[in-house]
Amino acid sequence: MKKKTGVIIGLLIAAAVVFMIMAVAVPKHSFRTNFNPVITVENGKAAPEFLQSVMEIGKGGRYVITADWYENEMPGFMTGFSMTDEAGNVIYSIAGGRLKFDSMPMDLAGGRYVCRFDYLCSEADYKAYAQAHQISAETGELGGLFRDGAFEMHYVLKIYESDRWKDIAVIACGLVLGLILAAIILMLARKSDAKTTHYDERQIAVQGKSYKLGFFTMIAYAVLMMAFSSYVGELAEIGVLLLIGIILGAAVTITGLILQDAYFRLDENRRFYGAFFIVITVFNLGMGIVNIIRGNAAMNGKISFTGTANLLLGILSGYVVLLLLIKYIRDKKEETA
Amino acid sequence: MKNLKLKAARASFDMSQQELADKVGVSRQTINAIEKGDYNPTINLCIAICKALNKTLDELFWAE
Repeated sequence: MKKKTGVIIGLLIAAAVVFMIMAVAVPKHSFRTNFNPVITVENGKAAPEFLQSVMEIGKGGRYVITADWYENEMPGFMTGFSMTDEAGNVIYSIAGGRLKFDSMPMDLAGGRYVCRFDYLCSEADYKAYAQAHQISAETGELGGLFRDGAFEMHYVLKIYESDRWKDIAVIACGLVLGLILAAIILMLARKSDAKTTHYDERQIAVQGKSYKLGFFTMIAYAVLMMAFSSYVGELAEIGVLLLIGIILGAAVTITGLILQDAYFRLDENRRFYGAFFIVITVFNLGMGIVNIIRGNAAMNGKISFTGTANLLLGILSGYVVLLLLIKYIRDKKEETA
Repeated sequence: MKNLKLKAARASFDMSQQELADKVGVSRQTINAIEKGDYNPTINLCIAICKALNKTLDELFWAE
């Protein structure tokens, strides 16, 4: 067996072990449901009057409840949310016209929980609900809020296990897994068993210019973000804004590197990388589209990092594939000239 | 400025850009850039190219 093959098999075994640790030793439970109902209010009565869903929590633990019905416009009613355990005890409740909230971590036993959304179409209904569920009701004039009409609502409810150590363990396992996979890809991409891979002097000079351009792009982006922070901060989560900056900087750098043939080392297999980037693009764009369809792209009224990161990375890797294709065509023309 | 002397010397050995690049340990595009005058090589690379083509620095890189 060749040394290279042995190293790759070793790395694959290590990756499998880390993956098993991640999947078995540190499971993280989360439950999620979406509703997109049209609520019709007529003469102070909502149709439907309520919606509910049953969530089955398999394993007891410490959980956080998050919900989002932060619509662009205030609907003509208040929504009361309550979560009831199997014994009929209300363990969490809240009410509001448009709302996004994260509960404090709470201990939940394994079992079925009824998550119910009630539509409260008058001030009296709202105050009665608040009193029954021991919620501090809004004070002040609410009369103008309640009105008839049809309102398209988007409810996202998520219950996830909150354990800091599990979070850290999953991130650590993910990083190790990522490093192992990167090592495997680097090994597979090398044309030979050569111990050193290198860039030639022209490639290093091109890299200097390209990295400089990428760096200044990121600086310019950061300055723009600072200038419009109050506006863009309302549109997207900070993670999305940072990722866009990184992607812009990377795209500018990669453009110079690929088109001037300074991206790959001399003994690297470009076709392998081309195929690799196509797989990455398809995977990320697929995940991104699935996230949009599931309604994860926006959370709490903002473009969410977890819902759009795949899509953004897919666009970047797709751009890399396009550049590789352009470079391939240019090289073919140059070789035949 | 195009380096036609390098191109001619390479051609006299019936050597492709890729073959010369492999001999001196650079990419084909680097040889292409030198021949087109888009890149000025370091003295180390000039010497490596001269050795590969059995020429002197003056013969390949001295502008008349």
